[in-house]
Amino acid sequence: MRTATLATLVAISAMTLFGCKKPEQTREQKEAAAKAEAAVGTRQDVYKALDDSSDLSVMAKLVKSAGLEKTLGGVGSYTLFAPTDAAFARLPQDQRQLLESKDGRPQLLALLRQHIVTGYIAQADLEKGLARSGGAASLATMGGAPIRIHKGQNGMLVGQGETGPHVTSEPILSRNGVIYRIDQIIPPPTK
Amino acid sequence: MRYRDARDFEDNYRPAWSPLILGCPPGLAKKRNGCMPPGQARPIWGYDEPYANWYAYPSWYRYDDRYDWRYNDGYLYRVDRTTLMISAFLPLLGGALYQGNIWPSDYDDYAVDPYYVRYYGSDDDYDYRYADGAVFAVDRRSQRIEGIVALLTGDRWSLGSRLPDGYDIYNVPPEYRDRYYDSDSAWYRYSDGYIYEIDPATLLVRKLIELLDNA
Repeated sequence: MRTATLATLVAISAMTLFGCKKPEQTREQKEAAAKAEAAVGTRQDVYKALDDSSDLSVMAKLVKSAGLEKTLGGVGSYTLFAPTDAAFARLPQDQRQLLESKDGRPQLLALLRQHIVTGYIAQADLEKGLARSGGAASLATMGGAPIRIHKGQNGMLVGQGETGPHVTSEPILSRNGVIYRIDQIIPPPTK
Repeated sequence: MRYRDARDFEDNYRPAWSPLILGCPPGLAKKRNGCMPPGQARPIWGYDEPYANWYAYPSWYRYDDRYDWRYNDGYLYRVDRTTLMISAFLPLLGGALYQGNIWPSDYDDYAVDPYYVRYYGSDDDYDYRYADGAVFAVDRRSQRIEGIVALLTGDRWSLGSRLPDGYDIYNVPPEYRDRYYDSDSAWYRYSDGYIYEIDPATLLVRKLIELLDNA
């Protein structure tokens, strides 16, 4: 642990007086973000992109409730498989209520983590990777178990067979992530 | 008492194993042989509804014949099936580990890799700490959790080891793609704040690249 310096104590006092300050990015982080923005053509981070999508409002609300705004708005790079509002509407009401409750928050985090893949996977990367690996590939998630993605008869799907969540449209690109809409929630594992 | 954590591994600080804490969770009275789970603690498996088993993902509390797992008030309890006593516990992300809560006092030795502080962190007012697959910003003075700055896969990478499962597809962030792109002689994969160079022929990890300095 670093020892608090006088400057830190002054900063804490300032926070107390004026409320929480927004953390500044370091020079290195700013440079990396600027380069990402130039490469992708947008300044939006992946949380903002999610929040701006009219058919992903439930996912955005749950991400916020889970306390992942800073995570998805930070320097880390993530690819989201985001269930649409219609997909969440198909959840049993008691399950949806649980996910929205304080008591169900660890479950919500577990669910969301399984929909977040590490790194920046553009559509061209997916297609190239699936072509190279015979139509199916494994993607590392933040949830402890990889998800499988494959090419089905009607497009890309998560899981096995033809009944899993389908990728429904072109992805949304942001400076630190990519969002793929899916039409179902990725089911939890069996023990 | 620390059960096992990432610092037990050669690749330093990367969270490859459970940070379970042995002993009794906060607030539970300790008896001679441990402590009993509270009556309202609920099992995390065995529900009929397909979407009720979300806890089952992290590998450190997967189903085990020796232990039952129960959740209550932000903590997961590992209950010995023979003695019915709690043998270890885990503060959960979204439970005890949530913004606004005070950092669990039992987690006093979970500082993160200094590289992660530089990569994910940005504010000297905070300590950056790791638990349950996430890096947290914690206010130094109040010990209040201010936010989750990163989620981590916890995948184990080390030089000479095989590419972990889940990295079939190129996933390097845009700001690094002009330098680290797949070719016949090298693949590059991003994970938890690092880029790794892979030998495409053997799928062995050849090089670890720290970011930020290389943007």
